[in-house]
Amino acid sequence: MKRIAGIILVFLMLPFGLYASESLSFDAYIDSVSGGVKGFGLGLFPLGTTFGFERYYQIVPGENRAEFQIELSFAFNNSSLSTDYDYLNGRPRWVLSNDELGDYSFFGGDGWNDGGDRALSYFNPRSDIDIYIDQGFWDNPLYEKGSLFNVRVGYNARYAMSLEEVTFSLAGHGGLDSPVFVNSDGSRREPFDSFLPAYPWLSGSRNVFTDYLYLVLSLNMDRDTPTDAEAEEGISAELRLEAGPSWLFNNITPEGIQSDYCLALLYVEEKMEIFSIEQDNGWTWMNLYIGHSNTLQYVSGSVVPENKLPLDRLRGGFRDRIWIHFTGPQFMAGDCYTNIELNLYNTVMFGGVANETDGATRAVELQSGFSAIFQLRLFGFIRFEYQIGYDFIRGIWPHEPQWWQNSALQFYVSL
Amino acid sequence: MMKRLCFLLFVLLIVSPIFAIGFGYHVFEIRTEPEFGKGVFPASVMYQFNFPVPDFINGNKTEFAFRLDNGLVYRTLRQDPVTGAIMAENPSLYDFPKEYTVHYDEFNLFFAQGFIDTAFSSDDLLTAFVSIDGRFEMAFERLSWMTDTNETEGVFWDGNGNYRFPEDGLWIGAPELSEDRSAFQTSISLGLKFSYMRDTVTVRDGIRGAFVWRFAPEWMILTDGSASFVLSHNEIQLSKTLFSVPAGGGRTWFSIVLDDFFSYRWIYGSKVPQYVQGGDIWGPDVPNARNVITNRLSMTFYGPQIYSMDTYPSITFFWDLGWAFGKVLNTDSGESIAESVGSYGIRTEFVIAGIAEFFYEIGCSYDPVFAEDMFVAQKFGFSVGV
Repeated sequence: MKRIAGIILVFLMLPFGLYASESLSFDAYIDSVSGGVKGFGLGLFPLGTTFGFERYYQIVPGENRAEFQIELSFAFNNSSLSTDYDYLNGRPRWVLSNDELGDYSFFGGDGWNDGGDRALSYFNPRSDIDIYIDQGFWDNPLYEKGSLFNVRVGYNARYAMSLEEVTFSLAGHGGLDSPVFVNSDGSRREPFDSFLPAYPWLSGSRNVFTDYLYLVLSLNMDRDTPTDAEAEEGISAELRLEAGPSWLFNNITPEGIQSDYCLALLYVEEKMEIFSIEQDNGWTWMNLYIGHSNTLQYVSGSVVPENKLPLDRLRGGFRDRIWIHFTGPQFMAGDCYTNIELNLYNTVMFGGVANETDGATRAVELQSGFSAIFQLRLFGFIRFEYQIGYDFIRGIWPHEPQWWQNSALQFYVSL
Repeated sequence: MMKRLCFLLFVLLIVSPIFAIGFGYHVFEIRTEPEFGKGVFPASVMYQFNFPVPDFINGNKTEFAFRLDNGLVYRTLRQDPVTGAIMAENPSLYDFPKEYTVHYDEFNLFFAQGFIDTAFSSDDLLTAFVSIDGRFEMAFERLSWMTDTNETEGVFWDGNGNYRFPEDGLWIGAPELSEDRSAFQTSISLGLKFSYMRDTVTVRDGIRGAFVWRFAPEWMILTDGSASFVLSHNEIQLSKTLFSVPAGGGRTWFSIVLDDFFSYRWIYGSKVPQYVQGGDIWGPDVPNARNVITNRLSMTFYGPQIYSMDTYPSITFFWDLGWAFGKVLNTDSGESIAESVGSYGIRTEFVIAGIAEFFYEIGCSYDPVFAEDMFVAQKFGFSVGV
């Protein structure tokens, strides 16, 4: 942990070298407060917060000031064990025939409930520290305060634990018959008593540290808006490269290497305003814009950490999204408004399966779906959201096309 | 409960429209816990959103804000949940780990008005405030519980898998831990702060303090009834810079500051949750009695402020004292105590840009609570915090 503190310190000291003569007092910001979760205060109280500190420095004469930022976040909610990958070799369930399934090992499979009804959900407290410096070059033609081209270099460290659900410590074990990870004497329960190559973060003590370095290059020819009540317009592109090699402190836990991966992601987005009608005070009566984006990404490496696993664990992915965004009138205050968004997604995943030990599986998968989202936002911290969608094709999942819906009332902050 | 919270939401909707857009915000405190990410990663944070209101009195600050404090903290069970007896009086009867974990969310919707500008400080000489408070908590065993064969014993469960305390009914000694160990409590606070302090981090001269009353009766609107208390918390800080070597730009090369921080807490009530109890000093617990006094006398040697006001090394010598007297709270026995505790120690730290620090501290609890033995403890760490 001392070495980790060291690397965080190195990043913290960056501003000293960059611009040593002025005060380093940072501006604080709250980025978001998570919504609640079931089982904690009726789901109304937040269990996580993302906040940070930032400061701008003049590094390159004649260009926009560089942004130095440290962002911190924590979340204390539950996660679920995936039942889709063999925990010993990472083989996905969908490549196996019914006859073969019996020879493989899945969470929730044969013997899982020996000793009592054993849940698949667990308590997953986690926290991130993210530090970066971002330098812009030239002026964004659509946003005078922004830069046309940005270079960002950063470091991200994450700590996560996988523990029994908090209700397990209630009287009567909160209705849970049997712990997930341990026996009643505290010894590790199968299969968590041995290393799980497909789930390294669930091995041993299940206290995991991972980190990575990243570089982001972005081209911005779009209009920045203070809230999403205003119509958006323009083109932007972003190339993100990440590396979380084992030698970057990803091997310091006794359970072995927790991360050894590289990621490349290219994102391109185009938006066009169709109409926008303003009130006398500058607020929106209504506006409409359409958008289109493409995302291409690939994850390589022998150990992909939990928070970097791609969709369905297939290493490559290409997503096409088209959307229409309508905003209704702002009322009472600038941050009270409704919007409706219609989305059409098509995603192709391809390549090998991340964290599969022998790398034998190759696949191509198509997912296609539609969603409609209605949001009512009030005063910058209350959001009611209703979503409905239809999955045309779900790729490897043996389901028929289906409708789905969900709704939520959340306290949040997004500034 | 749901109806009550919806009502609360409605109240917020009613009061919010006038002020709603253009939050300003502050992060006041970031906390870490040793068992979560070795104390490096944040586990809880307190922050505030300021609604943009004009100053009602020209030159004096008017504040209308929503403060939120949430995350995860460790606590120590100090009283027998069934009888309310102070465990430290008979340590052999309570020989088990007493730490547990609490998820919490606390909000305060408050209004503050300053009076009399001091010119040399952003704080007014006097500030009166009133707030509506709410707090949700859920408690569970410490994070390391049931992670190893040596970690099966907890505060609520013994090492053989038996629940230590009755499963139903009110726990007199820890009312907020009764039943499902979750509580939602509301209160109203009002108070007066004063500040006549010149404070530039490494140089402090003056006095400041606060007198706060917090009312949380059982009939309080929205509360689940797990709290019933009236709290009066009073604190005064006196500071004097004994020596300083200016470095220009308001910074110093070296300074020595003498501080005294005094607090007096009076609590009346039948259900006093732990988050308002006692007084904090280094080392021993100050028992949960009606009257609690703490005092810290410290001398801090500040090294050079490196490039900025908020990057500096320091070493602090401190002497802490605590007194608890009067009726023991959260018990039916009517027992009264008069107990003193004390400790002293040294803390060195290197603060980086006001958001991270390396620290080492060592202290001696020379007068622990009741008959406990004196002890020496030390800690080294790095944490990200304010």
